[in-house]
Amino acid sequence: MRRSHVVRPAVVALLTMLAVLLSVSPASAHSVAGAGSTNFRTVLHPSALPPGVRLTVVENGSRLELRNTSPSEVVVQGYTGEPYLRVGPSGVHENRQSPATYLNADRYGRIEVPAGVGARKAPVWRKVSGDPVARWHDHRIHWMSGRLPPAVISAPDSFHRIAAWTVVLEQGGLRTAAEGELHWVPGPSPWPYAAVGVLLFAGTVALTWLRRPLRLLAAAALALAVLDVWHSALISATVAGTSGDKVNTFVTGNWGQLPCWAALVIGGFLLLRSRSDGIWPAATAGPVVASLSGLADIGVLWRSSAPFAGPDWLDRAQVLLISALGFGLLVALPLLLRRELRARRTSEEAGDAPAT
Amino acid sequence: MPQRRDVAAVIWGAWVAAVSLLATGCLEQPAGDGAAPYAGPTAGQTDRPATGTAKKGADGVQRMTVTVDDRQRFFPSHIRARQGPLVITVRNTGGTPHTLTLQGRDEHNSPGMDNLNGGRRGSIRLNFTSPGRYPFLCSYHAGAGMEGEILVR
Repeated sequence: MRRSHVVRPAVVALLTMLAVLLSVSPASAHSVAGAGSTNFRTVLHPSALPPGVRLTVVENGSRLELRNTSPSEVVVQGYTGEPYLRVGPSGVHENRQSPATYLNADRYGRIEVPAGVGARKAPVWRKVSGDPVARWHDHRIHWMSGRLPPAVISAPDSFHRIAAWTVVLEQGGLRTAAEGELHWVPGPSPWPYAAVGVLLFAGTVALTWLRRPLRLLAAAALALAVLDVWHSALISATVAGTSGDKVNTFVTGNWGQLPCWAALVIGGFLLLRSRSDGIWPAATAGPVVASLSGLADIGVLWRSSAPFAGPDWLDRAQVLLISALGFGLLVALPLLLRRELRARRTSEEAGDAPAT
Repeated sequence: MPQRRDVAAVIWGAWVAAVSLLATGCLEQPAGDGAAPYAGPTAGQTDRPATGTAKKGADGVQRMTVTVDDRQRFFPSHIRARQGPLVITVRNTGGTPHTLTLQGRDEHNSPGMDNLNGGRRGSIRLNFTSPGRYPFLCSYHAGAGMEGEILVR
């Protein structure tokens, strides 16, 4: 391995790491609308809503979505029965005097309600959208506390009905109560998955001891890039809204991964061309991706649901593979260099030996 | 004898691993099993309903301090008081706003506290003219069980 073959990719790898560090922000977490994997499940009971009015729980229980294609407006009541939202043909209007307008902007309601706002005051309406659809973090439908419910603490492996919730809608003087429940649904045991993860990690590391390790490591690096893009896309797909919203979530939520995907592809192609210096970008980007996508989402192994537009088994398989391949590539770096060094030393010794 | 390149690779690997894990730590993840990240102190407080007794001052007004935080609990959640004026001071030591909304009967002449932002404190003055149980709750977090009652003798 020539010196330039080590220094150049090392510099590229260093720049990749710096780009990742600079780009990582709280918004990069693999969560949708502020919520990741969870054992809480929000259930909406079927109810007789007016024709053209549809209420759904979206984003894994993080928000409610109200779509009103009827000719008359629907008013959503806030936490103390005050008018909070108006949704209808003229779009969405929010009441600036309702505390819900401020609280419902954040998944955990950690927000300051402006002084002077009062639910008992006359509504002050402001148009926020021209579409007849509204989405909001209704804190009646999900668990808000930093502590688990007492029943869950005493029996975490059992199903629990945590609370019943009601959101009142009003249309033309008629009130309709949308009702639902918040459940605790225990997830699976993580240990079988952990065992599979260890085996996958060991398998990735073992690639360096097989014949043609460069091609195998190239496959690992490229597979990791593809898997992570796929995984991130399926998470972004759960965002309620337009295709543009989903794409925006994909880009902003994976800012840290973008340079890593590029580094994995570059490393993979270098390795495919039998250039062992390709291991540097691959081994640099691999663990970063494994941390940002694998470890960050590791909760799916023991929780019952997650924001993911696919089956649970696929989510868990992707998380395991991403973690194992990413950290496996990191360990493969010194092993591959050592193997190459030994091979060179052997060939040098063979070349020095006197001809017989 | 380890080669310089081996040592460099191991150091590089350790650095990458440390940075990766640090990057993960930087990400804001929901704590527990999807519950909100809890950053409040309240050491020693439990989820059992705590009871406090309002103390009467020289001016004849009973006073009680109730603490709320991001655990969505009143502490104490059960207040013992006697008939007459009662001032409840609410301290919000968390980051989430809360209300202290009295339910049902109106002998106390006040609907309670409308909104108290995180890090603030506020007071409400009530007046009880008959004994009984007066339930209250946080309008925002009643679903999480943020409720209590005033027991007036």
